[in-house]
Amino acid sequence: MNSRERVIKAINHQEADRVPYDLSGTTVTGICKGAFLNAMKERGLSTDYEKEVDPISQIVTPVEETLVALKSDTRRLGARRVINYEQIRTKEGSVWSLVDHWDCLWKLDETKDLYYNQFTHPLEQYDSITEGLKHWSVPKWSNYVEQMRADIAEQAPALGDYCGIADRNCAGLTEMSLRIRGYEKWYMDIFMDPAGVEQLLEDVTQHKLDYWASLFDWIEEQGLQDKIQVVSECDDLGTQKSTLISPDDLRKMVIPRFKRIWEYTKKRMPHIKNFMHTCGAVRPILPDLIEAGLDIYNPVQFTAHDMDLKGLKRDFGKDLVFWGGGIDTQSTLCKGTPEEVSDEVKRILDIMAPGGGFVFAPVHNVQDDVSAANFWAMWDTLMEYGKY
Amino acid sequence: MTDLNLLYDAILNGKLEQSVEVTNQAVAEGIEPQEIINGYMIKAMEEIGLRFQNGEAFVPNLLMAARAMKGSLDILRPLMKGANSVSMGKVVIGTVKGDLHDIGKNLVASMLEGCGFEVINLGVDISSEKFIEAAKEHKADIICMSALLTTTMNYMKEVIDALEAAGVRKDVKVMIGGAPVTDAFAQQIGADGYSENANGAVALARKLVAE
Repeated sequence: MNSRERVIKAINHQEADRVPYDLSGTTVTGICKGAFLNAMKERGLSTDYEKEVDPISQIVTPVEETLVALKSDTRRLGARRVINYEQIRTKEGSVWSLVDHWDCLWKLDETKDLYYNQFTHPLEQYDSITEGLKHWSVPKWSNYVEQMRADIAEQAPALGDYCGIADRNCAGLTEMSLRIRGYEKWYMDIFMDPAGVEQLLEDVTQHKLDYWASLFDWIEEQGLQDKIQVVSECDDLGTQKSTLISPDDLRKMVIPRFKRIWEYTKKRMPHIKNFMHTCGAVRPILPDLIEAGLDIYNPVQFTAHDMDLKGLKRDFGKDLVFWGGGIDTQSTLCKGTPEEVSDEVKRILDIMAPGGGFVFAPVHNVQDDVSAANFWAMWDTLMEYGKY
Repeated sequence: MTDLNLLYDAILNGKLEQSVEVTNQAVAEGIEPQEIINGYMIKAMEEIGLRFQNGEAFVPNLLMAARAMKGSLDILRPLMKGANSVSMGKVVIGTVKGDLHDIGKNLVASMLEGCGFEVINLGVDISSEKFIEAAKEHKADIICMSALLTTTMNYMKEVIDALEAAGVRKDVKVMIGGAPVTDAFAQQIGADGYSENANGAVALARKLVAE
């Protein structure tokens, strides 16, 4: 059974030979540079990595030989999150800076930061989003298609017999709105400028639809449709305790737009499954997301309120594939002992693996404070106890 | 006669203009700032905090309530100069060094302010030196530290160690919060308390200043 067959079984709610493993198939199931280097050195694997797909979060995609050794069943195909990263970044002292194509300024200080932090928001100086959109607009994806085609042409050979994931080019609808407007202002705009909030969400939706169209065009031109099994979108809609904005506002403003995206992806590639990442306590809106066309849910942050794995599997396991939730990344993976890591992976496999519908990944990217010992405790346990 | 219940409603529903209007009327009628704050503003902030804690209100509601509350407080504060009794206590709050996330921290700051504490919000990326300096300068009762990242939360222990080294740990209580932070972590690093939400932070701060 090859990796593609393994994942196809899992996402069709069947048991394969083992639970599939996703490393670096998306920008939310990856590994940060420092943790990667430490872990690979420990077992003598290559520490080389590909061009950084998402330098903001400092994750790296291991080179193909390492992904093979790590038995990752997935390969990512998609635009780089920061286009022309190597060309647009500058360095002053220890601080790297870049302005991305959304006109957001990001900085990373090598002496203390593990991620780029955002410093400016293109609409923050305006009284309202409505006013700001008279002076600034969401970038047109058509300006970046040529660069994307060059980048994905480099990625495509790795699809091989793996589960191909067509991955998003930018953050989610509300996430992009927050980055563009500034966090507190956007949240208050929901009350003070609802029309502006809707317009910005709509502009980002159109940007995403244009991206998906250009990516699917290329996939069709290359005849690679059968190599793609999953289309990956995202947003971050939840805190540890609840959704960030009310479920009703999500149902009104956000979920219908995801529905349009998912209808489009299914229209272009009827065989794919729609994947979405949203952290946090989002149980109240899971039925709405399913109704809107969601097939695969990530990251399954089971430490958040009302997100326990048994309950999710029981109540949504027929409708949703759980992709993630393999181990807690806020506590166990970074602060636990290797034994605790191993015990948690076993406990979760017992809950999630039966009947398929589960692809293993930690709750989020493996962060830089994860020791090599803990990474390998997770991996060894998965490979041993993840067999059906 | 002004109906101060309208002020309660204005803050609870995040309506700044109404909050300012009612406050101005109340002041013009000679109602004591302390009565307005204790009788209505704090109660409204407590209610929105409770709704947030129970998942009935969300981040936008809390931000709007804080905005309305601050509009009212800006009118009342100049009228209360020298009245020591107005403050429940002084809080120095910041997100720790290396971490720039501040929404949660700002919500806690607003809730504390709305519930009668004097809040000195230092911002983000705050070093132990800055925390100590501010605590000394303002004679703070409490230092509140926030971190969103697993990789920055450990800095909280450095701040507590620095407070010890500077000989001021006994003078100030330390509260911590943030997504990856837990009660166990608070105990482990020697903090005086942890809260998982803004409402709980107010209750904890009240408890700590009463000790």
